[in-house]
Amino acid sequence: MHFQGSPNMAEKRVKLISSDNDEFEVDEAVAFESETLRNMIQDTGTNVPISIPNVSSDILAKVLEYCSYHAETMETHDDKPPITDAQIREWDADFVDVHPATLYSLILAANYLNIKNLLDLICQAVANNIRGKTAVEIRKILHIQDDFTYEEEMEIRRETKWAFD
Amino acid sequence: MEMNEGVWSRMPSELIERVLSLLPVPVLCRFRSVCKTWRQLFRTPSFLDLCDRNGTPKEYLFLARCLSDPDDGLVCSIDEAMTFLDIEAGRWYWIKSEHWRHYSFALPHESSETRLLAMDESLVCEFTALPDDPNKGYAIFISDPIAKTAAVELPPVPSYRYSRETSGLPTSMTIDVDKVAYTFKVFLNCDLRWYVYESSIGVWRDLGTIPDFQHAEFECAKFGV
Repeated sequence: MHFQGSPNMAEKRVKLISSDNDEFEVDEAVAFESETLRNMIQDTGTNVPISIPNVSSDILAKVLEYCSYHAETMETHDDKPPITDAQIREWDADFVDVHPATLYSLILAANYLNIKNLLDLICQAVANNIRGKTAVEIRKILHIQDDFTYEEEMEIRRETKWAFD
Repeated sequence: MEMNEGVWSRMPSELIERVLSLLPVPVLCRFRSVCKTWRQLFRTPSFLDLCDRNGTPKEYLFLARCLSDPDDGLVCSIDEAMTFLDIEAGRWYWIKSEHWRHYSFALPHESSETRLLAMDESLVCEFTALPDDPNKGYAIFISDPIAKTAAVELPPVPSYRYSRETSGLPTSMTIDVDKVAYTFKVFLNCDLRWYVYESSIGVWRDLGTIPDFQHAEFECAKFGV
């Protein structure tokens, strides 16, 4: 699979190997969106393929789609108008509008690959999703054991009664 | 997106904390009843720092309660209750804060002549009568009651003489601390004129009158006690 960063610039290409042994080739600028990959490339160079043992090919493809889009937004082209912040926000919103299981794999990958903007984006999507939930629903989603006694829970509710309105 | 899937239960705690740090304060208050770990987490300094970095800045305005103690003069205390204002929703909240870190302190120049009090971060700004001043003048003092640093007197506002004889005592005062640059600004409202003192340059500037009266009210609400 190939991701185009900047076709008009002769850039170094980086080979990445997913956990299920699929090979990806991207521009160095795309890989540099990931702090982890940047460190690896600076250590070992671009000649050796970099294996990413805990990210599967479908998730790595999504992550690289994000990285190549965001690397592209950083570039200026004479023949094209620059991408606006509003366009980026819209693209990002579409990007995280995926199945929860995919989103969960993406959050782990973004964390491992240390892609700060992607991690922020996904964390915000998860935060938006859980902010309206009750404590009972949160416990169910995250499999958290309710360790309060009835009296303790009533005490918490009394302390901040308005939060439970 | 519906999240009722088992996968989320394996999410590493550092990522859970990162997600939680993005939530508004009222939601965190509600989530205190999820489990003991979360309840503890929401008052951990490292988590509060994370909220500081990740959360929407200045979304909430916190106010400490200022209490008058008959024996010790004026005492500021946040052990009673925290009050905060959600600016966007225009709604006030309070947290009974017996579990929060408790501290109370006496002001360096506390007296019945303290006319205005403002706080931000750990700095307290006091507009008060000068003790032992034959001219019965006033001055502004800055102190850090938690670090117990000595109070610093600000120079007087050059173009304005506040005194008990003239009726023109300041009507409101606010302090804004930049904890990164370690500087502060004091805003003083006298006779509808605003003055600002910037610690970085050590002088007062006359900001003139602000036509929008609501702004003045907002500033008072932000720092009033």
